[in-house]
Amino acid sequence: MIGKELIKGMIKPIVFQMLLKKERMYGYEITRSVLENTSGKITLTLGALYPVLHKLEASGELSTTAEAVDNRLRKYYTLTKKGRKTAVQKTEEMSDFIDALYLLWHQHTNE
Amino acid sequence: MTMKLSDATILRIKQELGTQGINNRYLQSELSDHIASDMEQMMDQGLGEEEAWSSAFAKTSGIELEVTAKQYGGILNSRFFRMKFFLWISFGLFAISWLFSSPAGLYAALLSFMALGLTFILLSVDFFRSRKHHAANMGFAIGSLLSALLVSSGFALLFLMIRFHLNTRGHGVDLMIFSYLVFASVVFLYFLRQRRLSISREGKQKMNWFILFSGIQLLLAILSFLSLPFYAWAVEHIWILIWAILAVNLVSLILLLIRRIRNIMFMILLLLSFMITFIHSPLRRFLPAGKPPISQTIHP
Repeated sequence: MIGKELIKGMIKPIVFQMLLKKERMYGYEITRSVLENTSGKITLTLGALYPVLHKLEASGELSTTAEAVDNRLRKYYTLTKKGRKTAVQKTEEMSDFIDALYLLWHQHTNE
Repeated sequence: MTMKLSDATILRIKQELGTQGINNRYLQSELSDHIASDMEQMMDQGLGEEEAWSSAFAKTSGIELEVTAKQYGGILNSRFFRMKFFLWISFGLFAISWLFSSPAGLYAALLSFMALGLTFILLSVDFFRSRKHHAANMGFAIGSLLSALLVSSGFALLFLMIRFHLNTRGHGVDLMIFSYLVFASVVFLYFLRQRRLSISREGKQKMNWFILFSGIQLLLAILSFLSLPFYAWAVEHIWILIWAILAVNLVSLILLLIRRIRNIMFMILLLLSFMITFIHSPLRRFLPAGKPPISQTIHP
């Protein structure tokens, strides 16, 4: 399990990555999908995920639609045109960052 | 088969979130869906409802919820900040216009109607930006923009008539009343839509209040609009309508304050109907600005 502090700065790229893979997702679905895809290592808490989603919505990078599901309303998030552009850029940046970290760690163990 | 929580449990989740400081209806609805989905997932794996409840809430600390609520409140405030700002400017300038007689008061009144027009434009932009959420938002955006144009140009005509004695044939008032009718229709339809979308009982009840108040405003707007083609006949009775609108505005404002219900759209509608009606009401005679000259020259 990865600590909260480490995950904190990664939530935005994670959300972008999830929404690039699947066009429309709701909050719990993102949490669940991240948990399953990381074999339970990354848990996005409610208090960590929603402030990021709301900020991205306010900045116009995510758009939302509300739908009645069973006996409650469900809010779905989708990348906007602007958001898609940012998402591609941020995920590429993240990918480079992961590669750089890998190199650093790999080098470190060799030494 | 996927377990589904009952309405009572959903309501209980919302109440619990409420006790933890999540009072905004939209945020409460979104977070309750998250917790309910989490509970259903755990119940699918064999947990009982109470165990799933405890487990779902154990994952969420009070501090995290507090931060989420604060940040959401901040986002909402910044979204409506400019609208509220222009609404207050509009009301402030309108109040100032009662204190000075023409031309200073008249210029203040002109600026106040322009500020009101700007509020409508901001509302229209907000609807336009969220046009993808609901198809009706595009209609609301057009209605709000039309109201902005009508109310601003309506008072501009009145201003030209009073200040520069331009013969506008009373069209200034016509345009402002048309703006009242258009915007009252927008607000009424908006609340009808919101009621349809509300799932919780409290949400529907709140919307019922707004539908009632905006429905009365729409009725008064229709009566005002109908008085235009029949002005010669209606002129004797128009004071009844003026007093009725002012009384409805006052009662709506008091009831909303008592029930602590706030809504920017409804406040804009209240201010619009108040400003349009007040400049034609006999009440203005008691203020330092004195009897408004426009009341003598509305329909030459």
